[in-house]
Amino acid sequence: MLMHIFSLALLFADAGTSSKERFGQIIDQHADKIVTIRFVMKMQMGGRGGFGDQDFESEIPGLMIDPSGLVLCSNTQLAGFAGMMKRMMGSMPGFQMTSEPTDLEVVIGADKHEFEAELVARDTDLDLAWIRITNLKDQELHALALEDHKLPKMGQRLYAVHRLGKHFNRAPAIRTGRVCGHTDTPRSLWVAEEVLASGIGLPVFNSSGKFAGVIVMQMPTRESSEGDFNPFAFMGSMSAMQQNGIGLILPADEVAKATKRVREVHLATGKPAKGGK
Amino acid sequence: MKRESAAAGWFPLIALFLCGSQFAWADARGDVQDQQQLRALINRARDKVFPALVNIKLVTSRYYGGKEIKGQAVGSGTIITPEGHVLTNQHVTNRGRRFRCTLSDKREVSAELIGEDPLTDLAVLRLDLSELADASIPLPVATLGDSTRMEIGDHVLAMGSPFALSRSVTLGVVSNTERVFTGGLGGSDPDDFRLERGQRTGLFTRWIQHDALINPGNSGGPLVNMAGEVIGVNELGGGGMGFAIPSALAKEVSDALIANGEVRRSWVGVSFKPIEKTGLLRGVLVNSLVEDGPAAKAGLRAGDLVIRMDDEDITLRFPEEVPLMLKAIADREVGSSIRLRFLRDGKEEEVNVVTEKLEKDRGEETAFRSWGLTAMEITRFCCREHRLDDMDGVLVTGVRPGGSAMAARPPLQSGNVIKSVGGLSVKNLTEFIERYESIMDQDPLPEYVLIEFVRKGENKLTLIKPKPEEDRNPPPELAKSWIGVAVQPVLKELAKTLGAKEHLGFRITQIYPRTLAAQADLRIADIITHLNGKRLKPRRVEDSGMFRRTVKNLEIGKEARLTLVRDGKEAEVAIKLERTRITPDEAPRYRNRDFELTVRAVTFFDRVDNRWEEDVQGVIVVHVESAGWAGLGGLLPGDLIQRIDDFQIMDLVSYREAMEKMLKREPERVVFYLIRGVRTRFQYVEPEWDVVKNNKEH
Repeated sequence: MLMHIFSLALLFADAGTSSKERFGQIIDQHADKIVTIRFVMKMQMGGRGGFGDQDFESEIPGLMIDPSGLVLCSNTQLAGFAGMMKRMMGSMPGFQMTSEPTDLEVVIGADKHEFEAELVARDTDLDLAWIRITNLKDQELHALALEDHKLPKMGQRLYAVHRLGKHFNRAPAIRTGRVCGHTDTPRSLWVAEEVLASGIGLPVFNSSGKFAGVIVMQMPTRESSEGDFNPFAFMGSMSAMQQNGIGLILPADEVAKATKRVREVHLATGKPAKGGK
Repeated sequence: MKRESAAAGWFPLIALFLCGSQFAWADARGDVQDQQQLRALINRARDKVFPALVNIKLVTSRYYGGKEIKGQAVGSGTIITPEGHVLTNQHVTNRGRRFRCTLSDKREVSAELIGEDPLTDLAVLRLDLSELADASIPLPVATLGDSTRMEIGDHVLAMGSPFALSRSVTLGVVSNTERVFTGGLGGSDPDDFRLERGQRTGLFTRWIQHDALINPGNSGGPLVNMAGEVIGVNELGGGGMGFAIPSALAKEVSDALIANGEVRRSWVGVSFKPIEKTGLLRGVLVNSLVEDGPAAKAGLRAGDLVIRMDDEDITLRFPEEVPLMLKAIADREVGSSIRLRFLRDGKEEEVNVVTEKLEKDRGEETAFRSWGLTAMEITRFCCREHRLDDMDGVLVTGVRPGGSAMAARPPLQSGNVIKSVGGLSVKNLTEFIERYESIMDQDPLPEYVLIEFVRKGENKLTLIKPKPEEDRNPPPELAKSWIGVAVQPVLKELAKTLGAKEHLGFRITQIYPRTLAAQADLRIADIITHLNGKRLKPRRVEDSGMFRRTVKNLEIGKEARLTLVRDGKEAEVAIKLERTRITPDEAPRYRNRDFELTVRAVTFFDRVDNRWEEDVQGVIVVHVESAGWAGLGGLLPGDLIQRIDDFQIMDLVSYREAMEKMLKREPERVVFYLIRGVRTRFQYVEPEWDVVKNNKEH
């Protein structure tokens, strides 16, 4: 029996039995598509090995988008701090910090199944990354059909499904907030209430359970912040972070379009080539 | 005696100060003479030892975080025999894999490790004299003097390579001739001193403390008296103080290492406590006993007051006396009998203790890369320190995050003892290595390996998933449309200045060569105002990316119409959209484990950034292991490797072929011809091929 945990940031007029049912429906509908991606982040400083290199384990949420084992997640969470700095500051001669996710695994549900996986492609602009399970045998995986979506609307309530950590049986949980803004620069992005903004990489659904988008980071590039760069400007309160591109919703159509391109270009060619002895 | 002579030494200086200025001229002349004499002494002492001074460079392997970390270290040493034996510290040679010594005449020579003695922190290397072209010329050799004759106030010279600055000399005086460490690094007893986890040192040492400045890099270098004799081996320093191992001890140890490769010592398993604060008048307290040690087996107990050892009365009042007693015991023949008379509960008793061999504290350690752990041999000392039941198995010393050992359920942890692998018991490190290699040689690899281990007395089981390390190319960015130009936004003020305020758009600042843009009718300074009829109107600097983003949203291979303003007139240019070029981060890579070097392919943007034409070929260094062969050869990230020996490097394929040929050829040195920045360079890599080929890295 699933243990459902409901967390609410706001009181709303339609609280009560219908909300409880809605939460339950959305969890029932989508929880099995929310997976955990486990990996080891390898960080290297200065391009030379030694004590400056650090490895550490990390876990981030992912969304199963194909029964063959294709999973969508946040590129920033996979790239780590080094990736963020590189995007904002570009390559800096004399200073190199690289981070690379390795030993990727996809955990389905509450550690029911664990699969090895590989990173297939990434889109730094959209903050998306695609991971593919490599040792799937006969298991059937539940996946979200991205093409079946509904775009967000101003004022609409959206729901993000996520999972708790391993010490809590990775129980599914839901958070909710309203759409409270929109911008079309650098692309169409929706602004949600802060409770949703912290769920980087989580898919969001409308009250009917239709896929509406993914919560992403939209870090400014060095190009667009030319002459006015402050790498710490995005730190601080959640609203300050949102102002600087953390926790915005990339609409579902953009996600579907990018995934289609991944399938056509990157998955059609097979596994990425290996390099090294 | 020592104090009187010290007082006498100070007297002339005090007299000089008190006598006043009327004697200034006479005193100044005396001063100069004193200085000249001192200078002559220093020169003589320097000239006797300096030629025998060596700078030692080595590659080290340490184990941290469940993996092997290579590094480089520098220390000092002294040539003490005509055969080329070099005396230095053990903490300099510790875990060294390859030793190179630079002589005082700047020639560099390989050396091999003859023996190490961690308990005194001394080691001996031997130079490979066959590498010296003029081997008939005798080596300069320093003389070991008598450290017992040193007194407080004696001048001494410290020689060595502080901060790797070789052939340096500093001057000081002896501050103390019997320094021991209690408290801080020394714990509360002199036999508790450790420089490294799990390894005691200084048990038999009373250091010569001095104030000749020494720094990291001086370790192992000589402390020299004014007669030009080595009276100490510098070991520790800081805060203006230095501490040297006395030459009397160094001579015994180096003789034993040269003769036998080790120092054989007796052991009785007793820790002694001086009676200074006990109110007792004679003897020495038994502080603690090793449970199954010789003294315990003979019947001695903690708290007994030892008053006589064989025919000699014993009283240890101060910590400075403890090393002497420990040494007296250690110097006995292994297996000999020592008669100890002691007081217990007011009664005198006697036992005969049969000594055993003093074994090393710390065992061998190695890394098991595919399992993500490091493990160590369990010695008797280690067994006691970790409160293990026996010495069977191997001690896990580190686990790599994300590695198989940490991912196991339950995970292995540092301090666990592995007892069996795959159902077969493992007695020691050798057996563990054999089991590990036999498993990793299987094809296919087993899905799981059963490991039995002990953690804090509990016997547990876990399953490890053996995972060989794989190298993968970085994942590509999603392919998008691209036009091969760089642009800048033309904002309102700039447009006005250019004379046409309605011409907001994007000014072409660069046209990349060998792109479709270069073939199209585009020019620097063209201002792009429309793309496929859509107006491009940047309002702020933050809109710099607008043009590129708009292009990215189009379909690769389709034609795009650019409306642009050139010399005040509007024009339209059609251009086919290309796919985004791969960035350096996405470039395919190749990792060579022999040379510990990772390179990648040259990308379009490398050529643009470096102004390289198409005929500039090679591979770019991405990562260099600092103490790997390529790192020692001076290769750096960013280098463009164009040739390796006589092989031209065009791309990753030719690079890989060249490296494989090197492995077959085994040349003494491999010459890399490369471009670094705007200059070409030759870098020489000199691998030790035995090490390369045998470097299974478990």
